[in-house]
Amino acid sequence: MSVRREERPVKRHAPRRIQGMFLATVLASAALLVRLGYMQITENQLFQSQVSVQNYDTIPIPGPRGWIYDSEGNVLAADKADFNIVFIRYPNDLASASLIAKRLSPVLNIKASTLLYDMTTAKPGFATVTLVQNATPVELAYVAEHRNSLPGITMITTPVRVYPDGYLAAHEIGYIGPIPSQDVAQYEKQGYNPSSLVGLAGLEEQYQSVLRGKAGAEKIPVDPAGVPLSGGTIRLPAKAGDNLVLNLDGQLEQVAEQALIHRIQFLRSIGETNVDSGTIVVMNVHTGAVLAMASYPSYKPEWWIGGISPQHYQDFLQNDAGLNRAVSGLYMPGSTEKPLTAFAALMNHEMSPTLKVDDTGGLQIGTYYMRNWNQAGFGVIGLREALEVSDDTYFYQVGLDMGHFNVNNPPQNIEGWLTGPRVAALKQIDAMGKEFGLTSPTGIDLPDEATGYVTIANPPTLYDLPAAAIGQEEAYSTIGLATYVAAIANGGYRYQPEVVHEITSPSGKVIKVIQPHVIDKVNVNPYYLQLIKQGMELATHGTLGTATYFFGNDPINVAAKTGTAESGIPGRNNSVFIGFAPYNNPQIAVAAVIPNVTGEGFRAAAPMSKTVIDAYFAEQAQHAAQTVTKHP
Amino acid sequence: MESIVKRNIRDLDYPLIFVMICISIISCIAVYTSTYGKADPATGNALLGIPPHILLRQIMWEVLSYIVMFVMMFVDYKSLAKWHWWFYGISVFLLLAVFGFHRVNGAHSWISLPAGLSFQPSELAKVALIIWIADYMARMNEREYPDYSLKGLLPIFGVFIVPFLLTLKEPALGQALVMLAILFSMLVVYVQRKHLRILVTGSLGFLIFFMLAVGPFGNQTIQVLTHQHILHPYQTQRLISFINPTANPTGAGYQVLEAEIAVGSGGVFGTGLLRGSQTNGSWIPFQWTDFIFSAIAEQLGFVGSSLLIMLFLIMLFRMVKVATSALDDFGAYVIAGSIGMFAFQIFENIGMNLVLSPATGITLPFVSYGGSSLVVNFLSIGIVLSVSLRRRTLRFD
Repeated sequence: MSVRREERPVKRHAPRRIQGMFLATVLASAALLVRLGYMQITENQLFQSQVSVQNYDTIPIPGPRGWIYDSEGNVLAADKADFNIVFIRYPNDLASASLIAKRLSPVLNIKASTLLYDMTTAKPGFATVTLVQNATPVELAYVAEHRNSLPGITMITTPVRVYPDGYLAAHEIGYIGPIPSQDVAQYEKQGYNPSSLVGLAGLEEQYQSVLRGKAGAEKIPVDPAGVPLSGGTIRLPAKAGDNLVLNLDGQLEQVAEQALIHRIQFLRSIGETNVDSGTIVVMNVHTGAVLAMASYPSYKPEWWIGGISPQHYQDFLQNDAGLNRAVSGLYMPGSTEKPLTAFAALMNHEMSPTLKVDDTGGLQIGTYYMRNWNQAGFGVIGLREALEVSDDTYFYQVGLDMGHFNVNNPPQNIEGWLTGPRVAALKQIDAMGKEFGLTSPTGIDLPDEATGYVTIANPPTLYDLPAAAIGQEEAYSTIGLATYVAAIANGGYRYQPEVVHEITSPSGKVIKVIQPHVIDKVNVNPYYLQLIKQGMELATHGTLGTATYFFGNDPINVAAKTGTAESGIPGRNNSVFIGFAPYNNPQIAVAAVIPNVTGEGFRAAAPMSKTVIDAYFAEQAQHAAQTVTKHP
Repeated sequence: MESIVKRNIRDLDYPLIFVMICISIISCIAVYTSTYGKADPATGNALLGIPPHILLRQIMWEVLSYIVMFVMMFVDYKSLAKWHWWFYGISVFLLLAVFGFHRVNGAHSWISLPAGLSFQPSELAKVALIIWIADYMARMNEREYPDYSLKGLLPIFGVFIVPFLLTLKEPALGQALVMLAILFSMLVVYVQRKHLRILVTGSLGFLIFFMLAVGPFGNQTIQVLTHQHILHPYQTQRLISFINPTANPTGAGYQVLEAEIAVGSGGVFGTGLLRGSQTNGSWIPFQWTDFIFSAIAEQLGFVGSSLLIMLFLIMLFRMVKVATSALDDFGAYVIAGSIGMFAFQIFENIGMNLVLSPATGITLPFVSYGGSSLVVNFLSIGIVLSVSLRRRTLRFD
C-alpha cells in the first residue's frame, strides 16, 4: 500500500465504514424482528400451548396454630405434629421402587405389593404420594436412619389440633374446621388456601389471625409432564402462629362447669325436667379478666378434629350445645334488675335515697293489681331492706315514680302518659343499662356477643313500666350482668371483659399484653353505689335476706342479688344470681342463670355460685400458702 | 467567549440520553417482574439465587452508572489515550487476580467486594482494549509514514491476545467473543481496503460454516464435539442443545427451551406485567441476567420487545452519528469499538433468547441485572457523549 498523508483530521474511509457497520446492525435488527414476529405472532398458538402452568409439585406444610394456655400455663389447645411418610417419584428412583417397597414393608406393616402400587401406579400424574399418615416413632426412626438406601422417601410434618381437656372451656376455646363455603372468597383474599382449617367459634375464631400459622411448602421441581426433576427442591419452612394466654383459670373453670352440671342434674333429679341449660361467669372486678365462664350443655372441641361425626354433630345441635350462653344467650334478669332501676331513678332525681314505701302485698294500678312475691307484704320499707327481701312493691313504686304516675291520682290523659312519661322512664332504665354494659355490648373478646335490651312494648300497657322496674321487660346477657355487678362492686368502673391476658410468640416471648380496659365510669353517685352494696349485703346476711340461707354463714363475705323472671314456659322461671365478694374488698364478680326452674330464683343459681366463689377463695388461700412456703 | 464545552451543553446528544433513560426504565421493570414473588415468604431470603432486594440494588447501580456517565462526559476523552497502558495493565492484573477468588456459577469471573458486591474484570478489560487499540490506530494514522501492513497490525494482535486468553480461561466464552467483536469492528474501520475484503469474506465464510455446522450437518458436529475435546464440556453441551434443543430438555437445553416458550407465548401485546406464566412461574433459571429479554417478550409481547430493539438501534445510530463527526481518529475508533461491543452483545443476547444463536454467558447491555457491566457500559456511553461534546462540526462552524 502506498504511503499517504492524511489531510483531514479523520481518516477518509472511517465514517463510511462505520456507516457500513451500522447498516449491518440494521440488517441484524431486521432479522431479530422477523424472528420475533414469527415466534410471537405466527407461532404464538403453538408456544402458548407449551406454557408451563405449574413448575413445582407443592406439598403444602400447614403452619402449626398457636397454642392456648390458661392463666396457670395449662394447655387448653395445642398442635401436635403428625409425620407423614411421603415418596417423591424421581424418575431415577422408580427403578428401585420395588426394592424400597420390600425394605419398608415390614417396618410399615403394609404389604410390599400395596406399597409398590402406591409408589408407582396410584394417583397418576402426581409427583409425590403419601404412604403413611401419622407415622409412629419406630417408622420415623427407621426412615431417618436408612435415608440413604431409601431414595425418594421423605418425611413431612403436618400439625393436628389437640384439645387435651375434653369439655373444659369448650365455649371459650371454640373449634376449628374447614372454611365455610360462603366465606371462602373472603379468606382467600387474606391469603388462605381454600382447604385451610380456620377457627369457627370461640377464641379460635376471635383470634384466628393471631393463632394462624403461616403455611410452608416443599416445592419439588417437575418438568411439564409432572416428572420430578432431581435437585432444586425448595423448602419453605412453615411458621407457627402466636399463642394465647388466658385470664381463664382452668381449675376454677373446672369447678364452675362441674357446679353448673351438678346443679342442673340435681334439679332434674327432683323433677325439674324443664331445666336443661345454664351459665355462670366469674370476673375479676378490678381488671375485667374473665376467670371462669361455664355454659351448659357443652361439647368437646376435639369432636371437630378431622370432621365431626354424625353422632357428635347431633349432640352438638342438641339443645344448642354449641351456643355460649354466657355471651350469646339473653335472659330476663328478674330482681337483679332492681339495683339498676334504683340507679336510674336516683340519678334522674325521681327518687330519694330515703324513699319509704308501704308494702301491703301489692299495688293497684288502674284496673291491674300488681302483686309482691310475698303476698303478705313487708310493710313500710326502705331501699336497702327492699333489696334485702327483694321487695317488688317498692320497685313498682319506684318505676311508677319515674313515669310520674300517681296511683291515687292517675293522669287524665292515659294515652298521652303511655306514649310520653312511660316511654321516657323506660328509656331512662335503658340508658342506665347502657352505662353498665347491660343494654350495650360489653366488648368481650369472644364472637357472637348478644346485646341486651329493654322492651318498650307495643301496644303499651299500664303495668309494663312497673314490671320493667323489677326486671320483667328486659333481657340481658350473663357477661353483661357480670360487668354490671363488677361495676357496682368496684365503685363504678365498667371494665371490658377479657378472656385473653396476653399473646406470646412461638418461642414464648410476650408480644402483647391485653391491658385492662375501662370502657366508662358509670354516671352514678358513689353514695348510691354504696347504698346498693349495703342492700346486697343485707340480701346475703339480713334476717330476711333472699340469699341468707346460702351465704349467711359463709366465711367469705358475699354480697348478692337474686332474681326470678318468667322464662316463657308457664310456671317456670329463670333463676338469676349476681354477686361479688368479699363485700369489704371486692375481688370477683359472679353472674349466673339457670332457666326454667319452678318457684323462686335462689333455689337454683345461688348455691352453685356459692360453690364457685368458695372455690376461688380456697385457691387464693392455697396460692398464698405456697408463696409463704417458698419464701419462709 | 464561551468555552467549547459550555457552548456544546445545549448541543449535547439529548436523543441518546433520552434513549438510555427509556432502556433503564425497561431494565428496572424487567428485573422487578422477573424476580417478583420469588423470595421465600417465610424468611424473606431469596430463593433460586436471586440477590436480596434486587430491584433496589439495580436502581442503585443505575444511579451510580448515570453519575459515572455524566462525569465521563465532562472529561476530555483525549486524556484517556494518555493512560492507555495503565488501563490495559490494570485490566490484565485484575484478570489474573480473578483466579484467586472462588468460582461463581462454575467460573472464575468475579472479584468479591465487601457488602456482598462483586466485580467482573472482563467488563473493564473490554473498555481497556478499546482504548489501547484506538490509541494505537490513531497514532499510526498521524505518523508521517503510517504502516498499514500486516506487520503494523501485529502489536494490536499481541496486546489483544493476553486478556482474550485469560478471559477464555476463566472460562467466560461470551466475554471473549465480545472482545473478538470489538477487535473485528475496529479493524473494519481501520484496515486498508485489501485487508477489509479478507476480513469481511472471512467472517461471512465463518458465519456460513457455522450455520451449516449447526443446521444441516448438526449431527456430524455433535459427533466431532463429543469426541474431540475442543471446547469445555459445558460449552459443548450448550452447542449441542442449540443444535438439538430437545436433546437434554432438563439439562443444558432447559433454560433455552423455557425462554423460547416465554418469548413465543407473549403474542402481540404480551401477557401483561407479572402475568407471564413462564416468567412469574420461575420457569427460567437466572432469567434476570442472561434471559431477561424473554421476560420482556413474554410480558410486553411483540410491541414491547420490538420497541426495545428499536431503542437499541437508535442508540447505535446516535453513536454512529457521533463517531462520523468526531474531532479526531481516536474518538472515532473508540466509538467504533463500542458500537461493535454493544451490537454484538445485543444481537447475540437477543438472538439466544430467540434461539437464533447458541447460548453464551452474555448479558443484555443496560437491561440485565448486574452492577459492573452496567457501570462499564454507561462509562462507554459517557465516552461517546464526551466525544460528541467536542465534535468536529462545531469546531469548524
